[in-house]
Amino acid sequence: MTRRAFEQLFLIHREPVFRFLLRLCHARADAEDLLQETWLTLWRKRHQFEGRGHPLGYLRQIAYRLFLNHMRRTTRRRALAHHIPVRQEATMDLGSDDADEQAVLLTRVRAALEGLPAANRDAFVMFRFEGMTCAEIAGVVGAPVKTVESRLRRATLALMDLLASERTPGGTR
Amino acid sequence: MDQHSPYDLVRKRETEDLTAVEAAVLEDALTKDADLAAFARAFPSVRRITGVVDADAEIGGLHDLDLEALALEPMRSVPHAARRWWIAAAALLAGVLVARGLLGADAPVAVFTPRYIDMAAEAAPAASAVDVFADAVPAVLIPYRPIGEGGITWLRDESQARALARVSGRPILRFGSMATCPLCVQMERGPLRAADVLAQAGDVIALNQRYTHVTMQEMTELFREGWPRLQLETADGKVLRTFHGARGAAPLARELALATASSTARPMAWDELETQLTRHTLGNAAGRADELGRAWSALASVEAPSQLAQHAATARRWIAAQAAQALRAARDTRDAGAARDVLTRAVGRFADSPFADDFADLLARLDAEGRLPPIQERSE
Repeated sequence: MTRRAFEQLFLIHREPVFRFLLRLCHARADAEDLLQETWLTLWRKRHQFEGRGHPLGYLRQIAYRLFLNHMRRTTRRRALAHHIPVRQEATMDLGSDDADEQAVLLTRVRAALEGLPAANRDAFVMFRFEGMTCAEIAGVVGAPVKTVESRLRRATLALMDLLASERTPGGTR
Repeated sequence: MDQHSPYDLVRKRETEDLTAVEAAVLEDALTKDADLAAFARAFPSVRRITGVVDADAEIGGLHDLDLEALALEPMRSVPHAARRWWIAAAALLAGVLVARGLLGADAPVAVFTPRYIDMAAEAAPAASAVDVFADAVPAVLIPYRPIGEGGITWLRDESQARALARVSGRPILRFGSMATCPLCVQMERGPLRAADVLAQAGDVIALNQRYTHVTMQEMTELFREGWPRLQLETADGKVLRTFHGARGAAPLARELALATASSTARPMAWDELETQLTRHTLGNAAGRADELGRAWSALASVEAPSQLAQHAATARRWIAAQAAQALRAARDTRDAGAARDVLTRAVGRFADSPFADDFADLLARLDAEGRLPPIQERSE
């Protein structure tokens, strides 16, 4: 990979890769750090990349591994999940102000996502928010497509259970 | 092109129209796969609810992060239609700058180049702090002088005598005796305390080897040439001269003078040796306590004799490698908080050495910029 090719890749894919990382780790500072590390890793491993697969898939693969390493170093995600009482919030009075409702809903959904097992959550985030196919997710996480489908299903059903109150009459949506 | 999973088709059904073929495939899969059917029932609701975090305005983009402060303020007077062009141009500029920074050319973020730490420095593979900072001699021997108020200061431990002989460059005067040997006791109390003998014994390491628990056969062999045994030998055990057997003060002084003359060593003065040993021992103690900066400074002042100086130089190379390792650890720690912890610890660990300046400088950059700058090796 030449420097020019690298620059082109960077200009084209930096935004999607950043969004991908931000979806996974939420914290912008972490996402920025991991983004930088992703590109540095690509540059270091540029000889391994030559002509293999779609660049974005390869970049997501690098970014996801870096994300997993990052999460192993920090336990913030688990800590956050344990500290936010999802079900308790889900039954509270939301009030009448739309903006407040939206903010509360956002917090609730995020907490529900954080409460999922990491592998299930990651599969759901990639599928739901990144629009990745099951095959693409399988390539990134290094698991069979069937496994990804299974994680996706478990995450979806768990979220439906956790967010059940949102779907009942009188809920916010 | 990857083949679509039926799960992909469930999502596609929610966002766009399926083709006739896709719809048929999905319907068929739904009838055969209960898990898929459960997913298909739940997904529309979950998708709708989780839409709250799906908006780009909420999740933000890289251009928001990089350019918000830079671009929005000057644009308050810019017509709305022109803002897109402004943002696009600024995003393109920032992208090029960042890309060039990643490639090492005209970096927009100033790189950090350590002034003192050689990032390529590596410690010897098996070297541990215990090995590296081992004392040359026990600290109790640092003030050793062969002549004290009570006459010759005899050492009783052969390994200590050898270590001191090695580091001081002086020969060992070995006095081998038995407590039950009257000739030995008489010589120790008499001639070996005489002034002219003491005058010849000022540049030796005195070792009194008291033989106990020896068999008659061993004793006969040891003292075949006379009682007591007296010899001058090098630190490595090479015998320079023997003068076994009892004798008076004057003949003993003469023998001792001849013996010490046979030694080619040119040792440094005792006071200077004591100073160097003290620095070396203090440096080692600091090193063993992981106060590597203090160890570095103390060991830097060990200039002689050569054995101590070489040992100190080896230890300093090890410390330099530890500094490099700490800097690499900080560099490889992508989390700013963890990097700050590594650097803060390194500043304390290497205090009193120039390496601490590098760590402090980098820590200041981290605090000022909120993240570690790119680190590059110093060129020499």
